[in-house]
This record gives sequence, structure tokens and C-alpha cells, in this order.
Amino acid sequence: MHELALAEEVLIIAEQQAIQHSLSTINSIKLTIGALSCVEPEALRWALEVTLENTLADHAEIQLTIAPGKGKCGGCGATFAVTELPAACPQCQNWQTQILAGQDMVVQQLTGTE
Amino acid sequence: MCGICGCESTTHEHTDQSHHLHSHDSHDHAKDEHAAPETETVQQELSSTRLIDVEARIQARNDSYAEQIRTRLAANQVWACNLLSSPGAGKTTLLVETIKALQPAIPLMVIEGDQQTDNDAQRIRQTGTPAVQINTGKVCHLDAHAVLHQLDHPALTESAILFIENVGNLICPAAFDLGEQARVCIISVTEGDDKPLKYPDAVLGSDLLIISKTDLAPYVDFDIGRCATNARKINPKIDVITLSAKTGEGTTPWIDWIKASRQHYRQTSTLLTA
Repeated sequence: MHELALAEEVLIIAEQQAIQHSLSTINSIKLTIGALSCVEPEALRWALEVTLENTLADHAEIQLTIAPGKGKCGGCGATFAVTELPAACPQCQNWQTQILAGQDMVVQQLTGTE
Repeated sequence: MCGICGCESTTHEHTDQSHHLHSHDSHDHAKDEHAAPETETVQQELSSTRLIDVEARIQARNDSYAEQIRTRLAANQVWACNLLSSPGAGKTTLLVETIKALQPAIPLMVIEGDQQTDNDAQRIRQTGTPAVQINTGKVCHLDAHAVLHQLDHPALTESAILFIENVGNLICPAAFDLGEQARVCIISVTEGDDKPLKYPDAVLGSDLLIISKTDLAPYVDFDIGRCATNARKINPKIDVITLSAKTGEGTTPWIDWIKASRQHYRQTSTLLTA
């Protein structure tokens, strides 16, 4: 359940931003989670609910977007969308897929009240 | 304030038996100098509600600690290896046999991660190699912060190999860079040969897959070739070694892999610091 540890990192980032921008309350947090990251979005949602309770981000709206995964074939060089692993190349069917995108987990934006 | 990571915990014991997992209630990372720089702009101001562009990676803090570990290791020419597996795949047994094969020619150090007990660290210490135990409590993985705190207990030995035996779990540890030079995933033949497909993250991030307990292969349906193929579908670059720590069969390629990887690291890190 590493999503709890990740939720705690989200809280730390939100608290840093609140101090820098003199916010007393965080109203919403917008996250982008890569489709190929090690995160189960619903588990992260639940972890955030638990972690943010009784903090300045209590009841903050969580906007979670899944960033698409992208791969490159090590055989023919084609690039293609990857939704899960393993992923064969749709052009030449081999399994030499190199992951180009979809592993990042980012806090994009937040809104808060002074 | 802690002299290692700058955190403000006052209950920080750098003993070798128990790792503190600080409460972040008393741990103000807003002042943490390790935190990755972020660029943010206040986009708009509607009455007192503000929209802030943050663009901060969730793992930035862990990765910043991992980078500090890498710097410390490089300064001491220490090669570190992070071992991942499910519980019961034979990580500690393999580690004990690996230590016997490598010592005394190469100085060795071990960090053990478990929810509780220091049983594994005790097993390692019986070989004469120093071992520290991190007890993660309810946490299911080691993170770079926890490992960084253990690098001084004992102090890093010049040119050593540091083995980090992660918590037995093939999911969560995959998300945490520990500053290691090599990551090794171990799957035993008493598990399923489709395990790489079920737990792709651990395989994707690993440099080597060890298929262990091959002495038991005649008694189970595990197809070693299929497991290796499945792993390469996830990670085409992964090396695969099959071995039995119990009989010693196949351990020579593993020891050779360690030596070659360490040698490569020492050459490249010397070039970088020269």
C-alpha cells in the first residue's frame, strides 16, 4: 500500500505551497498519474482521503488525470500508446518495447484560500 | 535537528537496531533543503481563492534523498544492490551464500528491511558481515530517506559492496529509488512463472532477474524458460540468472555478474569524479 506514502508526499507538497502562498485552506488538488506508474488510482484516492483528513487540505477535491503511456519498438522504431505491460509493437508484433512516457506522478495544480 | 537529513525530529536514534520512521507531524519538510526546486506561478486571483501551478513530482523528495545516497556511495566507491522479491523467495539465504563467496576479498555491508524483527540482520551478522536492520512497521517498502539514515551505521567502508534487502513485497518497493547502482528481482520456482506479468513494475525497474530455488524445479510446474520470456516482454534489457542458493548450482554466474557490474560502476564513477 505504497499509495499511503505517496499521499503523504502530496500533503507535504500542498503544505509547502500553502506556506509559500499564504493559503489557510487547500480546496482542490490536481494530480496527473502515469498509466504505467506504480500507482492504482483508486487506492491513491482512498489514501489521499485518509491522509488529508484534519489537515489544511481536509475535504479538498482530488482531480486525478491518467497520463497515457507511450512506448517505442526496439525492432522497427514505431512509437505507440501503451496502456499496460507487457506491450507488443502493433506494427511488427515484437516485445522489444522501450517505455517513453507514462511513469510520472505529478502534482499539477492546486487551489486554495488565503 | 538531525545532522543527516536536516529533518527536525528530536526522537532520532541512529542506532543499528531500529530505524525511526518520523512522524511528519513534527517533520517540517517545507523547510527541507532536500526538497526539489519547484516552479510555480500564481495564475489568477479570484477574491481570496488562488490557483497555483505546482508541477511537482510526487517522488521528488524520495529521489532527492536517493541522489544524496548516490553521491555518498560514489565518494566511497561503494556499489549498492537493491534486492526485491516476494516474501519467502530466498533473499536472505541467497545473500548469506553470496557473502560467503565474496568475503573476505571484498568488504561487504548489508541493510535489511522488514516490517519487524531483526532476524535477518542476525543471520547476516553470523557471517561476520556488518548488517543493520530497518523495521518499517506498517510501511511496506524501504524508501531513500530510511536508507540514507543508515549509511553511517556503521560508516561506509571504502570500495565495499552494500546489499539492501528490501521488504518482501513485489509491488511497493518498485516505486522507491534507493540510490542503488543495481536492482535485482528474485522469483523462486515455487511461485508462478507468470509472476513477471502479474507484477511488471518490479521487473521493469530491475537490471537482473534471478530465478531461485532451482533445486526444487523437478517438483513444481514452474517453467523457467517461460518465466524468463515473460520477464523480457516487460523489460527487454533484463539479465536472467537461474540458481539454487541451497546447492550452489548457478551461483557462479551471479557472483560474476556482481563483480562485472561493480567493476563497470567503479570505472565509470572514477571517470566522472576525475
